[in-house]
Amino acid sequence: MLSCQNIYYRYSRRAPWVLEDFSHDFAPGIHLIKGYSGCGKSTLLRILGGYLKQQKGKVNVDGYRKNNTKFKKQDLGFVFQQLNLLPLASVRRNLHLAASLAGVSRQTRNENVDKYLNRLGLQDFKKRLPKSMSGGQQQRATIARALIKEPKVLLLDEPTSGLDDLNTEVIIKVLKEFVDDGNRVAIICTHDSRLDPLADDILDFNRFLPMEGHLETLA
Amino acid sequence: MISSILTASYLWKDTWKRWLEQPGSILARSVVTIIMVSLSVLLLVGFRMQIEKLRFEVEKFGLDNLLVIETVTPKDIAQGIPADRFRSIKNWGNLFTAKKMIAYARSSNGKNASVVAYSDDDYRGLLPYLKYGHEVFVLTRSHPQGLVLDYDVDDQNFSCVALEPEEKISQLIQGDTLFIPISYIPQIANRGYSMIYYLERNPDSPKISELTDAIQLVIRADGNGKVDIKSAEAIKKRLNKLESQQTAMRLWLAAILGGAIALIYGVLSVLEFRQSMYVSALLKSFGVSRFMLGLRSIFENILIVNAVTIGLIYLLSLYHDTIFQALRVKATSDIDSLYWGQETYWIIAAANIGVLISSTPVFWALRKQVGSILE
Repeated sequence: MLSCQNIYYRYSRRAPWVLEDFSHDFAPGIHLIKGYSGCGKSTLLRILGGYLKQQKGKVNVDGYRKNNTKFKKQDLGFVFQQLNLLPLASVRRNLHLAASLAGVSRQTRNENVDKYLNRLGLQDFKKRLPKSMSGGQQQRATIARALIKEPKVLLLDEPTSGLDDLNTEVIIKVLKEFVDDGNRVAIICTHDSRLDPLADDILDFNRFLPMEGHLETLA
Repeated sequence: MISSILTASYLWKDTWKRWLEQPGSILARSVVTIIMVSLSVLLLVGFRMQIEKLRFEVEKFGLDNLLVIETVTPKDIAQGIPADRFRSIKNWGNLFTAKKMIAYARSSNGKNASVVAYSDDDYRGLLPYLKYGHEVFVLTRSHPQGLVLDYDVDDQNFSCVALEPEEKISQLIQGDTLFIPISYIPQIANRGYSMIYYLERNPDSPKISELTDAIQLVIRADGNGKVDIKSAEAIKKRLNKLESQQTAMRLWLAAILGGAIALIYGVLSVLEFRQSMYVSALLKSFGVSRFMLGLRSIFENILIVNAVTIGLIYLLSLYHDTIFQALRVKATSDIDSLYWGQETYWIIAAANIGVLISSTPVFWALRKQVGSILE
């Protein structure tokens, strides 16, 4: 479904490699990427989403070998770690804008907006501006926005960090439904062990790091 | 289509909010535009007025006319330099001659008039006035035609009739002018005078430039250089020179204006872009093109520049008389053509080009990867 081969990435020429010769295939299902802070989980996620360009290596998506823009528009849902909603647009407008840019038809868009807002428990918040919502509600809204175009690939960076169990439960339920048809892949960077039972595959990023050096960095 | 409308509407909302929250940035751009555009417009309008004035002079003077004014001093008269030495140019057209004396005529109401003396040879040019049967007459626009006035010239009293000057003779005299046969005031002629020759060239005569050359040849041969020659050709030469100078200045002005706007708007755009970078990156992550996001900066600046520029030009045209009177420049009446002509279109074009250039750093900054902005 989604694979990367021999990925190298560093933030500047003098910096050490964050990802060095990293390769992995992501089959349909839910994949968790776990590891210490700064081990390169989020970096990998952004590279997979095409939001960072790797210095070496390849990312392949089924059906999207070259046309990465189309992939980002139509078949990629991305949830950043920070609550990235358009601040001057209501939740409903945020969802509509993302769906219309993905080329979702008007009818499907209207249906999906209601469907995902309901699923994520946001039906009463659709006219609200992000600043008038709690962190958990905003997080659910960003997930709804990523799901509205019903992408093939969903990438989530710490989607449940700082969320209570109830909010986490809602998100877990929605993610399960998302991969239910067996044709979609969700990759989640997380420290949250509450998501572990959800995973079809857990990728431990710590094994790519020299443990001693990393612990020194943390210290 | 709907996505473009939604995106554009969001970007407009974001821009509007920024304008309301930070009026300083829009004010700074407006002030820069006001200063640069008003300076440029006033300079270009001033240039245009100069050119219009010269064109009017050419038109008024006529392309086939020649005016020669020779200053004759008492010394010249004593040395016997022929008083009417250029009179022979009458062979080339219709010649008007007269002697402007170094004297003033005082009227009973205290208003002075210049004195012009004429001889039998000058009769032909004065026929339109002499036909009324008065040898002494005053050409005036400040008295009703036909009014009889009294003037004193060197303690001699003259009763004369007031006549309105025709367009042609108006170019040769200034203010009220008393015309007297020279035989009535021979003593004044000895003090010196200006001999006026005004030629309306025949179509088959030599060109005005050739006539001018011939006159200058005579002057050099006689060794008397106190002669002024005025022709439309000379004015046209000045006009052409001025036009080419002004074309160059127009280009410089446009370049300076465009450059200043590009620089200042560019700096402000980059500063503002830093503030809106997050929203731009977010929209980019949804698939909004870099071009559309950059277009916001262009559109915003074009809106400000054109609203300020066009509004300012309109205001300047509205207060044209007041401004140019304050600058002690005679205002012309055809204001619309002065302000809404080629010159001002240059200004508007230069300002818009400046805006386009100013957006270059924004387009460059938009190349930054979304993943390095959003976290």
